[in-house]
Amino acid sequence: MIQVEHLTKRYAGHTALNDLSFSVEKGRIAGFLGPNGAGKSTTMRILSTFMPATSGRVVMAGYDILRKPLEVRRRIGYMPENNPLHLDMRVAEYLRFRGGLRGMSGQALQKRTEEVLEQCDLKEVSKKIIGQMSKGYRQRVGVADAILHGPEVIMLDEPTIGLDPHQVRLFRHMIASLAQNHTVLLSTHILSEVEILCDHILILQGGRLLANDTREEIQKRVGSMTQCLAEIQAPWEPLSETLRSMDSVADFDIQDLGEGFLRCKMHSKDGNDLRPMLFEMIKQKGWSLRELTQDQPSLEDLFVQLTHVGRVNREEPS
Amino acid sequence: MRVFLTLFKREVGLFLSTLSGYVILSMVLFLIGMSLLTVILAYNGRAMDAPLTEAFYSTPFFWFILLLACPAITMRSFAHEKSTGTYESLMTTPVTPLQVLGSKFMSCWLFYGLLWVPLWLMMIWLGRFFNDPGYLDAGIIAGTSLGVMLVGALFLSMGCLASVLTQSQLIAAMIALTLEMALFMLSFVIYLLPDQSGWQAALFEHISLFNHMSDFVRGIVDGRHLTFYLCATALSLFATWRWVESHK
Repeated sequence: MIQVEHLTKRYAGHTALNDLSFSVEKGRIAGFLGPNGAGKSTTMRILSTFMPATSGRVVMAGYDILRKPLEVRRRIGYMPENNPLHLDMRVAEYLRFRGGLRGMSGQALQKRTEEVLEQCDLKEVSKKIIGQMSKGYRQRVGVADAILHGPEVIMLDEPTIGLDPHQVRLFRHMIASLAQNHTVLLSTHILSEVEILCDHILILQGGRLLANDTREEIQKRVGSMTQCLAEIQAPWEPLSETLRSMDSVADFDIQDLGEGFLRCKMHSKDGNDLRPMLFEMIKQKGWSLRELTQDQPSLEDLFVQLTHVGRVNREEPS
Repeated sequence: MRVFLTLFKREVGLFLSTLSGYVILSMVLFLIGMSLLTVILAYNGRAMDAPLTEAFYSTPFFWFILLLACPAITMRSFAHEKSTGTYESLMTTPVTPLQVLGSKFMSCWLFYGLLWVPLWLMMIWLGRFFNDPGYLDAGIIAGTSLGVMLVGALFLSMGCLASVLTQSQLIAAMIALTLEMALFMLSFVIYLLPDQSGWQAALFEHISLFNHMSDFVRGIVDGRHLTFYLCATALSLFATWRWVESHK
């Protein structure tokens, strides 16, 4: 549904996007994750045909954004960052206006407006002036506008920014329900949002794509970061030999704590829990065990690791 | 066409539903009133030797309206949308730059035309006191209206160009006013030239807004004037269209 190939955007003396390539399948919720200034909004703007790219190719819903921008716009619903709305208009009036811009009219527009008002829980405030409404309601108006014409792709740039936790929860529920009929691309820097909502995760840093995986693959990567910690009373060499011979241990680090105790930090190869295996091994060898713990890494840890590496890599050449 | 009409209705509605539209309307009404007062005081008890429209054209207030109203009308057209971000949501719907520019320009032009309605009402009212209908006949009204609308079209197109260049309405108005004033001041360059018969004099006479308007207010529609306004307006709109197209 979304295909991006070698997308690059350069401003004078600054590269905002550097050779971005990814694709998002139909019916998926893809999340753009990245710190501020990573290039999320720039990518969204290019994908929505608002801004031209310096180079690269983007195909949205089967149409090249450069050659057929109007066809692309007919098939996408885009809510830009900060959700700009005409604050002087009433909700239903605004939706009818936006529908008119997309070539809808008459009964069809009226019917669709009613449906969208219902879907976004805006029916009660349909005659209210947008400027007098709370942020949460305005965000809903933004989403209602984005889905009004039944687009194939919905793009939401930072949709939950500025909402209170209750509104965020309602909003997530609304986005999740959209995936039944649409492909959703949303950008955010809130990790929990991506973890809960998205089944395709794209991590951006400094205009580069650091991760482009499905949720399962990301979970695997996070799992591989699982670190097991054990304090064992054992001789160094035999312990080192034993750990090396264990297939599930990807790497390990041993540190002498004194009094015959060694601290071992280990990473699992496939994200499995190493503790039962270690316990068995220690029991068999007849060594003493003082501590055996395993930390539970999150997407945040992966994000920090990736973006930290990304930053170091970018800083190295200079 | 449907998209254009949707945009056009929205733009016209903005003038009629916001305070800024009524502020401009009040300002123009005040200047028209001052213009009427000046004409009445100047010709009170004296014989008129020119059409009534020419009397209005000679007052500075007439030119104040032309020069001040246009930047005030156009300053929000693009700049406001850019500053609030609605320009981004507009340009990601299936609308073409030409539809956006056309709707904005035409709505400004329509509102500008509405601003002059009180002047015609006052003239028609004044005309009732003349014995000779030659002072205000249909030809004179049509010629003056055409002149006012053509100057307005040129100034509004310049205003649209200024508005598309910036996000600030104030800067847009200042750029538009500077452009209009520069064009207006060129009308007086001819008086500074030592040689009144050379090509320079012919050139400045050709682009003199003052000269054009003095013909229009007498009901004379010169093809050269028409060509000048149509070409200059088209050029300015073309530059705006290209800007919208290339700076999406």
